Amino acid sequence: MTCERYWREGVVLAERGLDDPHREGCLDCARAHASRQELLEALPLIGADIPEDPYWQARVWERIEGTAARPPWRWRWQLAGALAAAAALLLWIGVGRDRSGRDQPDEVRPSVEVTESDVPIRSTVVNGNHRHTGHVRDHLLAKAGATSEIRIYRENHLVLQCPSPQASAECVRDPHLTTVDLLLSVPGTYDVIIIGAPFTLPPNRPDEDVAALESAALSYEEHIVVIR
Amino acid sequence: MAMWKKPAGDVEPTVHDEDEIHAALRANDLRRALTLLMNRYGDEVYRFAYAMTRSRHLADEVRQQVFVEVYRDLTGFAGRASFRAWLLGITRHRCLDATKKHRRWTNRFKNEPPLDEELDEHELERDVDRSKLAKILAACLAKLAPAARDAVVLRYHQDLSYDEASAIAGDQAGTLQQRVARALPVLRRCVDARLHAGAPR
Repeated sequence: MTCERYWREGVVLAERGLDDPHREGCLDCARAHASRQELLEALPLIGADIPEDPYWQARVWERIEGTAARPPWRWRWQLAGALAAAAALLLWIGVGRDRSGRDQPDEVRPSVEVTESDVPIRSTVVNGNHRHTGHVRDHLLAKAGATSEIRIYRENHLVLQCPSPQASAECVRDPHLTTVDLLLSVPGTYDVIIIGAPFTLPPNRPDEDVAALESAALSYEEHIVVIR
Repeated sequence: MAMWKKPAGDVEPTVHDEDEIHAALRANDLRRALTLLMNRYGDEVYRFAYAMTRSRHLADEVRQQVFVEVYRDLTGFAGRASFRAWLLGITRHRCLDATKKHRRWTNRFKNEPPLDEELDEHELERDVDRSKLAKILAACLAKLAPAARDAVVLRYHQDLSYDEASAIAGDQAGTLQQRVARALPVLRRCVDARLHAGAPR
């Protein structure tokens, strides 16, 4: 008999809490049993060494308070659609008025670069998706038109919104350009969403933003930046 | 043979804890009840979610969702199951949702899945300590079929009896037992292969 017997039959007995007389006299099976025990004793340790996040409860409360204040999803989508249509109309009226009076600057094409000492690096477009890679301490440089909004998420959490109610050094806006220059100090997957027109829905999660943008038929560009 | 201890934070819930939560519920003090539940079970929910998803980010996200959901449903908690079983049941569902959603998201953007938080190869030396073994185990668990992973995690990560695990997973206790018995040799082989290779894949 080899320990194969243990993994085939002995382990079933052990799971049922039954005695396995064979194991007493079989060194291989006794070793296999000890190896199973080692496995079982290590299993509860999975995730045990992950550092505690002191703010997780605060985020739960934030979500609870946010959820209570929000209208139901159905209304949110309809509201988003209506607001987006109103914004598009205002933009159209504004552009028409400007065009009649004076020259408009060229529409700024949205761009995202990961730069190392101001040198663009490692940017590719894979299957139509904008994908960039970089390292910690690289800079993420995003540019878009003056009426655009740039949202940057890391692992689904909002890192930066430009423009935003709070002033930030990373976000610069002038009459022609919205620019973000963000030092990437934390590794992870960043999601950069550049929205082509004013977007009234508050930042949530990138997939929810994208769903809302698609639902409102607003133009946007999405870039994935992986920082190692 | 090394004998591992359970993590220090893993304290069995006392009747006192549960009583306090029930008292808060009776007083309709939902905020206090949720605070007590988060204090008591927050780590456990997180570690369970991590074992199921193998992603710190998803585990964190799941934990938040679970407690938001719990707050919403606290008034309807009938007390048929323990708070722990109730929480783990919700966590399990949210983990399944989160992994599905995550898969759709990464497929869409052809992005590297952060689900597989691969270990730093340099981190893994021949002399494997307990946390490294736990990381290897987490990687091997992720390779198991979801039903088998469910059974192993509920039984041995959460230390539930087969009957308790059965109430959460919705499968017969005997079925779970069979799944665990079949999964353990697979896990052992996977762990051995990774230990001998010196780095996880």
